[in-house]
Amino acid sequence: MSLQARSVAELFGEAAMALTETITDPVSVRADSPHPVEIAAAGLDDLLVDWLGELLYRFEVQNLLVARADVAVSQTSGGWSLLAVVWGEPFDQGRHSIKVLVKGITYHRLSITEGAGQWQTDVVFDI
Amino acid sequence: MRVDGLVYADEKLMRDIRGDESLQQVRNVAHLPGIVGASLAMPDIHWGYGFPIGGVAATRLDDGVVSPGGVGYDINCGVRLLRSGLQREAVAPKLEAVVAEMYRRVPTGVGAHRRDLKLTAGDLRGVMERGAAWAVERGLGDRADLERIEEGGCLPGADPDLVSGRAGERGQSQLGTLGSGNHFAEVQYVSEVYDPAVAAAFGLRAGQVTVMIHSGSRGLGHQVCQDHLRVMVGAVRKYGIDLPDRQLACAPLDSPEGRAYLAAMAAAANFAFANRQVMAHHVRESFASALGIRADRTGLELLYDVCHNIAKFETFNIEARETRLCVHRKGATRAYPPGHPETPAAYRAVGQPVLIPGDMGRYSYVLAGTARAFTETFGSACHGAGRQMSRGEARRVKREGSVFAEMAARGVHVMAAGAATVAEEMPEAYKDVADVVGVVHGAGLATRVAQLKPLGVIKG
Repeated sequence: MSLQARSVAELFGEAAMALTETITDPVSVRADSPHPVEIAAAGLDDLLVDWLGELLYRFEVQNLLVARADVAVSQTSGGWSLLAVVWGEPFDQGRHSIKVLVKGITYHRLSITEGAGQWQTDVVFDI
Repeated sequence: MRVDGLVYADEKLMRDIRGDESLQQVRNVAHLPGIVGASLAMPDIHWGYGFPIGGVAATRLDDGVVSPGGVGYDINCGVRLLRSGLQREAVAPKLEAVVAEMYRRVPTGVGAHRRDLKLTAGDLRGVMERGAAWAVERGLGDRADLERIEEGGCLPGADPDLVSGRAGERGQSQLGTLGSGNHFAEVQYVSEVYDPAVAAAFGLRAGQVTVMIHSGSRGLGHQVCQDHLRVMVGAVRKYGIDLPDRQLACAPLDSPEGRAYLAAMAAAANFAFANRQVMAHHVRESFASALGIRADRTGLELLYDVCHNIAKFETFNIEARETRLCVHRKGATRAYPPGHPETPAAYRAVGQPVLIPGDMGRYSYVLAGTARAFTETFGSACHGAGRQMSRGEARRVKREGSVFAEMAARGVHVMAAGAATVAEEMPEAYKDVADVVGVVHGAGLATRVAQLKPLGVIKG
């Protein structure tokens, strides 16, 4: 996935939606219930891998598909932290057509860059 | 580069191989500390993350490393082949019923779980410690099955305490489920026998019905990889390892990080062995139910079960000395020779069965391991056809609904949880596995024994 956004928080929100779009048609997912997420990591790229890994775990164990992610990302003394509320609903075989199962979030060619008011990332999912 | 890169391919396959970055990945793997011989690639090599898929790398115990990227997310993804006592003509009239029973009894697709097998924490621990034997002890298979599984269906050194709670949660309801993507359970028949003597030793004959199962360690293995990859990224910094690609993250074999990964990986590998064992039991039950006979009358016996995503300690002759190495096979199959003590007794005279699935419309192959593979490739051969079209590309060129009809026209009955998956898995999306097998046979890494053609398949 190659993603651009105006802020790092928006970039992480876009990444969440890219994961949903890889798994299913995001239009079919309803923002029915809120789910808080809190993550900290030493580096911003680790934070992105952990963030998407968290959403993947919630999909597989809790069947949660994400329709929207309201994300705040901040730099701390120990690195980076993320506070988010993801809105979504449980996977419903009748309404959600599955495109592909994502096995993991890789570090392959992972990069997060900022320039000219744009944040950009490339992240590869293992499918 | 500490060693050479060595790719087994012909000119036709090389044209595809040059089209992606897999050759650069072969070069990158050659930088791993302690790598022995060469960074190897099988003819089905294609772009992976860190290691290429189809890559083999062996590292020394004293100064070598282990890399989760050299195993992959789907730890101990592998293939199991059942031979039957049934001929194609006997099954053909009830084929759709057999496939429907398999589809009912072997959960497929995303979110699939078994209602009849929800593991307790103690059960899950037993699965990770004992692998296929855990299932056999519960009546899901025969004791004789264990002799015909790589490593006896249980990798030593597994430590469930080094598998995260999160990985356990992902696996707890998934034992005995197929998964999605390229995983399948396929009813086949022996369409051609190339080596009658070896085929007879493997219990194969023309027209015989077989069942091939391709699956791995499901979410549990994926999470083990994810968890330990993160640790390894830190270990690379800690041990000052210089790598050309972060996805090759690794740790010395004799380090806390390396030992922890190997113990967790073994636990995930054992989950995968048990997973294929449980599914095989339900395949036997499916045949019995659909054909209206007792399960033992189907003659469905395990021919062999191989890993193709694994790192294992194995012994080879290096510079005239017996040397223990850590062999990474990522999208590569062990192919041990005749006479090797780890080749099952029933096959010791002819070599270990090497199971190579193709696409769901054409054919798969059974080969036998050779002494040449043992000396050249750390006893390894290819693992499959390899994609020639991305999943997205396949979906764009193929209308989802049409694939079922096209497969039926080819004489293959398909049942799947997701139509999109079937479109992605259409035969044209894959290279011709006969080309890949031809190279392996020609190079003497494994010899062709029989070809298997599909009759029916269930997919995720």
